[in-house]
Amino acid sequence: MDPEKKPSPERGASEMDVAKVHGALLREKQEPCDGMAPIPLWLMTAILALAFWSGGYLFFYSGGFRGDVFNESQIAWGYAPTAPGKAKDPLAIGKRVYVANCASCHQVTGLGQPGTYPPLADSDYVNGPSSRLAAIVLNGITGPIKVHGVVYNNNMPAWKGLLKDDQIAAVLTYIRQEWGNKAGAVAPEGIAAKRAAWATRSTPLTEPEILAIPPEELPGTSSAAPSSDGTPPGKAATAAPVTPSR
Amino acid sequence: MTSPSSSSSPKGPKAALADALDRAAIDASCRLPVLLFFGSAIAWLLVGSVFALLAAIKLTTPEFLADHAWLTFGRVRPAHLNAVAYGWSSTAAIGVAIWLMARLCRVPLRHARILVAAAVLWNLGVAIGVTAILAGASNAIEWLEFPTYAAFILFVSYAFIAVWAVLMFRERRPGHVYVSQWYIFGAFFWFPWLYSVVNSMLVFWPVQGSVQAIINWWFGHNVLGLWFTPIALASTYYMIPKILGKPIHSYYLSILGFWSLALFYSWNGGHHLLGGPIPAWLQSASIVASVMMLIPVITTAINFHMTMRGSFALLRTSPALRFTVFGAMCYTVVSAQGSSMALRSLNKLTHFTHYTIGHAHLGMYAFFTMTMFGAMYYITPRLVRWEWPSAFLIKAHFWLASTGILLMVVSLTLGGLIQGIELENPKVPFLTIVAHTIPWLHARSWSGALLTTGHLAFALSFVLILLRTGKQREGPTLFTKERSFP
Repeated sequence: MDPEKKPSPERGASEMDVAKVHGALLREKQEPCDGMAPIPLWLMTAILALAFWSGGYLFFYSGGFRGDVFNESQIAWGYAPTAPGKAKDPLAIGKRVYVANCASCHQVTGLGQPGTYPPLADSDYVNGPSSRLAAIVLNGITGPIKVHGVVYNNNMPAWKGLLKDDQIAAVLTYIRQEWGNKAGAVAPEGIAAKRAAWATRSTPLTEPEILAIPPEELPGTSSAAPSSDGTPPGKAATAAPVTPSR
Repeated sequence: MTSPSSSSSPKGPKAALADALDRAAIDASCRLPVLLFFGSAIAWLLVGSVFALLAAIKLTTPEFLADHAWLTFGRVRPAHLNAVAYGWSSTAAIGVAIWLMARLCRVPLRHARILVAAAVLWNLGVAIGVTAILAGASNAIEWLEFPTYAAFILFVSYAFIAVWAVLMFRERRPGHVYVSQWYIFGAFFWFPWLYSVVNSMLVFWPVQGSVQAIINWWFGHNVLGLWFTPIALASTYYMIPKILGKPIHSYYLSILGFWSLALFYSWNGGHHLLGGPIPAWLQSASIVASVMMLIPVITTAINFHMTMRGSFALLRTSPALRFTVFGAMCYTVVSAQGSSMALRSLNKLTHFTHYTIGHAHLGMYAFFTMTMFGAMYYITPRLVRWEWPSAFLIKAHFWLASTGILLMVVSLTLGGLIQGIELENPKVPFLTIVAHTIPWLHARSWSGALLTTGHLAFALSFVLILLRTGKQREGPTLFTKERSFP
């Protein structure tokens, strides 16, 4: 600690008071250096064995290195068992899109809010022609609209800038088959066609404009009402393949 | 270069004296920054021990100090972790690494002011961080509880140290770069990489969902593996051959050990999330990497063991060697245990039990902390130019620390296994399982008391040597009274 005891950094005994070199330093051994013993053969063998085990473990328990496999025992090498393309349940996607975007007004019950937001359950607009329903969701609504004899005067935003074709198709399929609704599933290509048709429209629609749209089903829309055995008709939609086992 | 017999280099007594003078100049240049880091590390060790004891007692006596918000378990436990990880372990590691760098670069330390500033900043950051945790401002990410402002101070301080390391290395005397320096350099670059990545991805621009957990454990495990472990290995690679006066057994094993550690360690973090909602391949990759850690561990163990062979008797006399070799042996044990715990079959039992806590302390205390103690026992007398005043205190420190940590690891390992087996059995009610852990937790509290007493002995020793108390000794302070210490 005392600066006077600090030896000068210059090399060589002449400039140093030898007596001041601490005993621990004088008795110290040489700085460490390297021996050159070879790597033992058994260690190399053990490393190879470990590498072999690792390869096997990764082969059997890596789930095919897929991001969507969480069960290590499921061997998922190569293509997914459901053939090319992503196969997902449109009802599940539709429910997710609905909860995230629509439920704050129309509610998860699909009943809307009395006097403010119209219900979707048992609504003629929802169960009716998909051309009108798609136009509403793509462009939004402004001003009064009559549902079940009640007039609702409010605004609905346009969703064409926010949701993709398959998301809109999925959410329409969902609301047409939830809460007792029994209309056919909507396919993404139908939405794509409508989106193109309404591409230049930048303001929300009014009730007379909606009613002026020819009542027709979009291309790819399944006409099937739900079958009596309880199978949801969404599973029958030809354009939306379904994962069999998830 | 291989003569193990005397305190001189083979070049003769004159060259030996010149070497000793060189070392004296190097040590004198290190004195202030290294002692600053050592002293504050020991202070944080005491603080961390107190928090550890509080947290341990709360597990068996939940009402203990529960009325004070600052001292509730949820704050005391992270305060303990951060005080010992950043206050004690990192600070001690930096001090040891600085001295090793100067010794191995074979030039007196320059730019000491950078290091002094770094030491002050580092302690400021840790103090602010620990206080913030106690005040409830923790950001609740394990191993990263310090709030942003404290983390930022640490990062700046760290940047100073890394810059200093580069400057120092550029000014080294030409010649062979010894294996300890590889590890120190690795650690000095890995840590800022880890710390900046994890702060940006979890604190400043947080990623979403389960990716957070992946990043969190990538960091949490790498702090151990790419920061503390390399510094402790650098110290061991220096101390064993230095104290024995032998070359390290094999340069080739050193290379293999270093690069396999660098290759496999950063994949290990995922094994904390086995069975969690992350892709199966990521879990399996981290299991494979954890098992492959056997390669650097076995390699390093062979290297140390073969260097020690024929000299084990010295463990009876030399404090620095005994602490260091204790740490090195525990490195082998804790790493092998870690590899086995990464396997799904065992992890199923040990995950979320006290077994994991035992493993963590086997690593951070029995391996890392004991190695740092050893290095400090070797380095401090050279900086202060005074021998350790009391062999009794060193002896007390060693036996309290070693029996304390063994008691802790054994009780948590057994208690954790029982806990894990019972958790697998749906017929055992949960509260029964909790009740069965209590005796083991009592044993853990007692082990903490032993460790803390040991730390007090060490702190007292350190204060006494700084004050240069006692009469000036001629030879080193040893465990036994043998004259012929090499």
